[in-house]
Amino acid sequence: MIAKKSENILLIILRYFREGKCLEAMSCLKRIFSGKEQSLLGLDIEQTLKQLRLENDSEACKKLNDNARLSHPGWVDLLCNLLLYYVERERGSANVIDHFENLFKNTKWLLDEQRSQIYQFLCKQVVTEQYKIVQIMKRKAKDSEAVKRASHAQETLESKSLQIFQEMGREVNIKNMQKLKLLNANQQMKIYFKGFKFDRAADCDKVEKEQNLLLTSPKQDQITYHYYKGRILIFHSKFVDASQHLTQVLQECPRTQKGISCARQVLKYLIPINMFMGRYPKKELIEQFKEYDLLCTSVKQGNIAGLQEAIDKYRSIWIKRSLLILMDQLKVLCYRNLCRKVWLINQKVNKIHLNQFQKAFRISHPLNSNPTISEVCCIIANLIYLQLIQGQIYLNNAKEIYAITLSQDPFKNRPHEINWQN
Amino acid sequence: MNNNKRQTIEDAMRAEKISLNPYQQSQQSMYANYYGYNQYVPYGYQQMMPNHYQYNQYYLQNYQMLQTQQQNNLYRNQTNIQRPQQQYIQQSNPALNSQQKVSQPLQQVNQLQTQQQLNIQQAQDSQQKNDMNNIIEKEQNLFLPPVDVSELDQPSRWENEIKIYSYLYRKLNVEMPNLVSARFCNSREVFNEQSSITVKQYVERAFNKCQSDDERNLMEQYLKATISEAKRKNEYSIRDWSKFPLPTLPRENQVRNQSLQSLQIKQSTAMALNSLGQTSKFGAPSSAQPIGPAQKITASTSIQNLMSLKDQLKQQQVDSINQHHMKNKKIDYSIDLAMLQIEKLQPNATIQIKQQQKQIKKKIEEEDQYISTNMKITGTCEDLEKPYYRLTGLPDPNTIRPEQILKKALNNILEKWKNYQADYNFTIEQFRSIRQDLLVQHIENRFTIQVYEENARICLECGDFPRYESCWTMLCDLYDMISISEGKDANLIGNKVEFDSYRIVYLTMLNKQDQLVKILHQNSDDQRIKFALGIRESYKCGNYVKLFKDYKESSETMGSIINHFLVRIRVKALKQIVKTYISNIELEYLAQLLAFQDVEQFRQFMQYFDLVRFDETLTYLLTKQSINAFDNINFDKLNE
Repeated sequence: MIAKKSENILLIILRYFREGKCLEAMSCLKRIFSGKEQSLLGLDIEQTLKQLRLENDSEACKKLNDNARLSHPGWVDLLCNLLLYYVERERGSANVIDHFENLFKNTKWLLDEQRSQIYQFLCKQVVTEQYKIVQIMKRKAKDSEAVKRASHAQETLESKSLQIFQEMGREVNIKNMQKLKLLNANQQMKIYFKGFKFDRAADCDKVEKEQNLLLTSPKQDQITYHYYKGRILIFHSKFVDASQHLTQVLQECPRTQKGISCARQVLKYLIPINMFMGRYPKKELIEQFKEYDLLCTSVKQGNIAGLQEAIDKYRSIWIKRSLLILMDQLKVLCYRNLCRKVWLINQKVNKIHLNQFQKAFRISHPLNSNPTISEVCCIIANLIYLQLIQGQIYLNNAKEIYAITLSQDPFKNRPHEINWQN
Repeated sequence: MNNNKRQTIEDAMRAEKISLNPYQQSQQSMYANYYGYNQYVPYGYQQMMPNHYQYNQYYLQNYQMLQTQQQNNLYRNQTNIQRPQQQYIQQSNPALNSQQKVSQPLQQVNQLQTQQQLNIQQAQDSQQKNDMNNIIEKEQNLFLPPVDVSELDQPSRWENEIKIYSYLYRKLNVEMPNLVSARFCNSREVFNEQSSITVKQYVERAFNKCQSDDERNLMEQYLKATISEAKRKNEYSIRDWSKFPLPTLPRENQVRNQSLQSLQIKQSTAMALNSLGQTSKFGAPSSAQPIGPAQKITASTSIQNLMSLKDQLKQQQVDSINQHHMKNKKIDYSIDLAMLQIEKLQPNATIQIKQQQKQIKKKIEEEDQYISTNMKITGTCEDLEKPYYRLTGLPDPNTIRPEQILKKALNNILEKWKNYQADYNFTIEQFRSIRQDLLVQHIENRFTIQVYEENARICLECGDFPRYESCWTMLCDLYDMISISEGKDANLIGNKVEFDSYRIVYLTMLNKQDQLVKILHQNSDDQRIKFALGIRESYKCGNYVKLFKDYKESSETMGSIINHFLVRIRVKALKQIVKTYISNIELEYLAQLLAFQDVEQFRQFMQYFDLVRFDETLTYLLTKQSINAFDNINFDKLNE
């Protein structure tokens, strides 16, 4: 009985395919294999695969399949590929990607609409599967050989999936499927991000070439695009643009559970970046992200010791979020805020002795007890050089060094406006 | 009567099954059938055959066998157990009814038997029946070929063959015939039904010559051109393809000049394979045009060929079944002619084949020995210093050093390097030869890591960054491999952390963010990594005083990395100073700031680059005049 039921479901899926509802058919399959639907449980997948591929000897089966092929031409192959993919996935072998490739190649005869549905499925599945399978392989691995194979598999999976995406991108461009262009680019970016290839990821950006692309594509793709674009811009120290992209993600996130988790992910990057814009997080936000508490307050106050503590304490987190290289720039920001305080204490005089700054640095960073005048001089020179302070350094004959401010408000340049690349 | 009917149907089914078998059409049976049918088998016997066998005369022998074996069985059973067998005969063989009548009185005489005995007998009968059925089934199976036709479709059947072939090809150092060649061989454009097998053979030979996919594609184009040309000239069926020269590849011209050992071996084996394929197929390659079963047994070199043959066979069977054998005579005749020709040729051919096979076997054995010795190569050379030569052939054990000697050699070179007895080029050459020896002997252990680390360190100290990069990629792989094989964290192996810290500094100087992030992901807390990050921070924050302080404290290798980028750092610092200071600056102060040994050195440095302006006495730097001096400098190109 069970087998009959599951066969019926296969027929239903085939009918979906024939009616051109690829997405429904595939979602049905997905539901079955994720265990939400029990109806395929009794079915021997390998046996059905044999049947579908005409490998079974019995005449009745052959006749049946011939009929199926007549009534569902080509769809049977697609279903075979899908089923094979699910079988391989349960085994946790790296051959999954081959079935994806076959699936991609088998769709060339389809109508554009159906094709785009299958592409959509592929885009979403290829990337997520890839990492799951490597994880499964590593979990199953007991000897060193297996681990080696798993790590090799990751490389091949990465390169092959990129190949699929590039080919798909070509097809999408030819057929001008507006909806898929951005999704395809996003998935490529995702793969590059996982492999720490940020430069390559920046090359995938297609929005710069096509202005309309962002408006015509669906909203969720827009959001993912903004997220990756923002993260790439962080690496190029372009904080204004990065902040714009990331805030857009925050605004457009749907207020669902998934959307909220997405917002949390974005905030992890948005909080440190907005500090460059002079925007510090409120108390309610800090309560959710406690690792940013010390960081934000110490940058705001110009507390170098506190900043160093925050960096060291949550080092693993910063590494995980690949934010550790941002910390150097935060430190410069911290120096700037400290110098501003010195200038405020001195009642905005336009000529301050460097001793004062030295004292401030000593107070701010007690562990580094004796910063020499030349060290302080260097730091302030750098701030001036970066145009965070509008001023100059004057060295008189008695070797006394002064910082001279040039305008009424030497700290008027916002940290995000300057060129960090110098 | 029902039983009888069923039997006849079953028999008919059985007969059909036998007729479907491809393996019954094997060479010998065909041959025997042909002559046996005409000469030895009396026609009268044929007329006695039941109707449903009549169209199946090709398998006459089988029928005979079946009959005799069944009879034998019956006799055997009769001798062993008397009564139940008789009963069985009554039921099963209606032809023996007369015997039954004779045996009935005997049964009547023996009426004294008890019921129990009868029961036992019945039980025995049923057992016997089962046994008989089993035996008959087994016998039927005996008549069936080892492989069913339907089985051929299944991949499992071909997997074994493919395995065997791939093993063979691998042994012989020849590449498997690829999909490209297979596709070409099966394409209908090139081969029609008229085309003789010699053309296919020619194509096969041509593809065997290829070594890579690119070459195969090239070859495909060549072959298409030649075949179409032949068709245009109407020479397609006339031309002697077996003697027609193969198209030459661009690689072959080079190969002739190079005269590489390994390639020669490859080609010779390939040729040997070809000759084997040809001769065993047709005796003499040009004479025969065999159509039919002769192909089946051939040791054809490509699997694809087998696949295509399978289709041909099927068609033949279908033909032979559908058409009556009398109408079919022409085809049979041609087949038999071919068989005859082979038969005539055989005395010479078999000897030739045997000789060639022996030669090939010898070759294979020799190569096996060669390869097996090569795989477990352990050098015998004991020189501590060996010049590096690029390998052009298979490695010679006499010139390769074993691991123990290599360890000594490494120590020797390191000592020489530290005592300034060897210059950079010499040491790098020595390292290259050590690495080569390690590679040839497949040594991948901690010692290999040590060699690569020392090599990378020397490269870093001398600022040879391209070589350092190549060493680094190799080191990454080695760390991963050995950490997996030993089951330890990768950071504990060799000096991974130390080299990671060098890498961090190196990457910050080159301003490569993404690789840096990747390295940081692998490492957590370590003093050396933190030190490297400190250098990075002071470089990024423009704290040159601290940077130079760290530079003076750093280890030898780290110092030399920074040393290499020192010019870049100093020029950058100078640019910053010039842009921010109003007043003129004393050179003494600047020299101290930029970590020069004395003012004189700084003066030389500045004059060498000729960027900034000094006053007449060379004691002050004029900031206003030299403010624009750094505008056109690209810092990424400032190396030395």
